[in-house]
Amino acid sequence: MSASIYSNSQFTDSPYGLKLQQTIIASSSSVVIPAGINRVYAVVIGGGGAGSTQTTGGGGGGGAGGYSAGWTYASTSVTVATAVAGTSTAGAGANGLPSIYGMVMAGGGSGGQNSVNGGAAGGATTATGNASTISYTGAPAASGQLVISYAGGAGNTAGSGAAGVSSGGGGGQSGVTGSQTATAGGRGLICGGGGAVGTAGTNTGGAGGTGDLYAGGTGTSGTGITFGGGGGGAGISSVGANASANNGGNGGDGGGGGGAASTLGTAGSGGRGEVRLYY
Amino acid sequence: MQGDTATPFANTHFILPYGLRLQQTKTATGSVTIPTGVNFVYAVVVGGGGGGGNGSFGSSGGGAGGIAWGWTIATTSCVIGTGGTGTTNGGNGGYSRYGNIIAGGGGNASTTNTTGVGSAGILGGGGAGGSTGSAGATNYWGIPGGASVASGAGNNGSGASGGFTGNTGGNGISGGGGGGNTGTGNNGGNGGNGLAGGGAGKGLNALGGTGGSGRSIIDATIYTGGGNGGFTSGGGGAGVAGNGSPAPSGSLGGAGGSGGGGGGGGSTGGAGGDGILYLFY
Repeated sequence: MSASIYSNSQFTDSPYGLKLQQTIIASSSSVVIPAGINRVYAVVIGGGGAGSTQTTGGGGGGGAGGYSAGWTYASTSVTVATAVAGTSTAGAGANGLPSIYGMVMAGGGSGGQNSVNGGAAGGATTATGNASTISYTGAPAASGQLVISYAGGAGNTAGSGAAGVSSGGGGGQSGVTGSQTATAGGRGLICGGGGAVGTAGTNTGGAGGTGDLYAGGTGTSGTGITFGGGGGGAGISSVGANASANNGGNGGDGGGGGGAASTLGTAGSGGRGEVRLYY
Repeated sequence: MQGDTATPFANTHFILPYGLRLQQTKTATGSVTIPTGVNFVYAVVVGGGGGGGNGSFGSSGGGAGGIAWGWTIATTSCVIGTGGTGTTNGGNGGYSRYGNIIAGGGGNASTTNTTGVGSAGILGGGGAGGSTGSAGATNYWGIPGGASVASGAGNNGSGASGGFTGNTGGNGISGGGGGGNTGTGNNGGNGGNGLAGGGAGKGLNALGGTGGSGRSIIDATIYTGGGNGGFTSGGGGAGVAGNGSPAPSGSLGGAGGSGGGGGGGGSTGGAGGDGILYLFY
């Protein structure tokens, strides 16, 4: 017996002829797939990491959530990452949460770190700190700060979050005098948030990363410690929010990383995750 | 024909990938327009090639750019990596990305083979040659790269590693750079072969190597690596869209071919070839 890829459609891994049928933004145990449809093509996005804030100076932006896509058996349940809140408590931002549908899974982005460093982007699992995680396809993780990969590494004082399909969060500045500028979230399909600064001089917060589909939020600029928040990173479904005063902007829906805050401002929340089902 | 409310569902043309037609080729970062209703496209992306090493002797070839392929949601912009330069501290090739398909650049070779260790490839890119042949990188699909070498030819891999002094770069999807030679009268190493080829190394009072070969992703065209042109410099590796350039002189390495070819080693190295993006739908 023989088979041919030219006459047997089951050999294809393509999403031929499929339509976007459901966009799911909250976890559920009652996903309804029409009878007779046993496999669906899922795009799964993890939640963005929240930005961080510091007692003096600025924190780092959160990393973007992971992006995974592929065929899976049809499932009646789904887990979608809720948004993780940014806070005004000095320390690291919360890591984003994972999303999963069937056998397609994506991790959350790392929260901005308890320092000026941003968070790495999520891959198939959730990232923590400078390094990202391996992607759903098996692409390697970014090993550390500023390393480009499918999921980019964290940004720091000198460089923006690393680019990738999902990008890292930008870094802040720890100085409290003079003019300081934070770095931006990286470029990607889904993006990390910008870093923050808190100086008595001129503060310029980092912009959230610019995505393919949506823009990142802007950082604030002005003199004194009531300025310098970082913008939220673009999600796959919405823009990142602009920063306000020394507070970070929220990450966009669909995995955007939260912007960092400075001088105990409130950091931006990470964007929620999302699941899209095609069949 | 295409569905107007869905992803492509009809066999439009018998060009790879099966049932799809090559609709757009992008060679620079910018905007992308996809027809309304086409939600998914099949993308092949190639990162920029690494720059060739620069030095009066012993400079090595740069690695070829990484290659990734697969389905992605349609988006409105793309990033295309430029080739690394072959000047002092020349860079790796840049990454290329469309949607969720991403490929890294080839590693750039260092200044000389006596002290130089080039850079590893990134996300599928080939490694540069050198006194250590730098590692190639695992690609988008998790296919391992070639490990670095302290002697002999580079290892094969998704991104192959570069060759040790005077040795050939490894073969792979993206070839490794050839090692430059530090022994008087010894030729430079050839670049490794792949869909994109690595750049060749420079000889010392002897001929440079030949860049690795490449081939088209969209038809059967074979692209050739650049030769040494009778000079000590190394030729550029071929890309997926063009031949590598031969070494133009004893001081200049050959440029990598379009679509990720690695630059050849010279007193001034050849630049890596720019990346490229193909969109099928």
